[in-house]
Amino acid sequence: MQSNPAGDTVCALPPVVASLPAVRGFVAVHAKRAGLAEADCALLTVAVAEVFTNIVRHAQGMPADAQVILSAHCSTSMLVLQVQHPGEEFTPPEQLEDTDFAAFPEGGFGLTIIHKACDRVEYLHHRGINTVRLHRARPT
Amino acid sequence: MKKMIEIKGVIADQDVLVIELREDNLDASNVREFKDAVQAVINDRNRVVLDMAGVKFVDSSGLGALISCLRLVNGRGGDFKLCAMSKNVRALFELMRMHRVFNILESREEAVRSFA
Repeated sequence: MQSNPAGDTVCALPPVVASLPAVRGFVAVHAKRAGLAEADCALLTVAVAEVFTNIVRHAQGMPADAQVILSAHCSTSMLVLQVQHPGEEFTPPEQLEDTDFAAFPEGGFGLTIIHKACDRVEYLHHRGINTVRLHRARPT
Repeated sequence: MKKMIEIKGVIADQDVLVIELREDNLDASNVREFKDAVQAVINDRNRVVLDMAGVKFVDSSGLGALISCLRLVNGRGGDFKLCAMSKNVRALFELMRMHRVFNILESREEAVRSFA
């Protein structure tokens, strides 16, 4: 892990599922340091892992040697975890539909987890870089 | 190389198949192997418990795989129950309201007894 000029902790990982333990470790350290309750740490960890897995599985137009950049910024009130990767713009659905469990769905939970586990989620695309920012309020 | 997943199936009282999942994680990295391994062990059984003691992390792929198992066993009139779930995994089930879809028991013994 390194720090960027803004003082945020940064971690670069190859876009493969073998990186998932490192993703979980990165989030767990920062969520715990931000003072989140254990269950909230766990849910935020799942949310960031979902973002990363979506990149591994679905990202389009990534250069072969591209890496996914995780960074963490902690203010007095908020923990912000950011996931960035080069490639075509990803546009999430405007509205997430409620899951109909009567139909025994086997997928489509990832975005729901991401949004339910966070207070706010931002999707940005600028100069060929996709950025997902997950905001989680720190306990007062 | 295909990743191996470690599971073990034992027959308990009430003719219940108890499957021990000996993995820390059930996620995108091993979910396909999990589905293949569990479905081979389940075979034609209709009383199945998955002992999740030791599983520390489940993601959306893992939830999907568990629903797949539930559908398989429910489809022939049986039940697929979960037990010994960690607090953190339980938090995900509650976030997604899947604790209402699955029968989740505290312990393996309780899960087996629930079939009586």
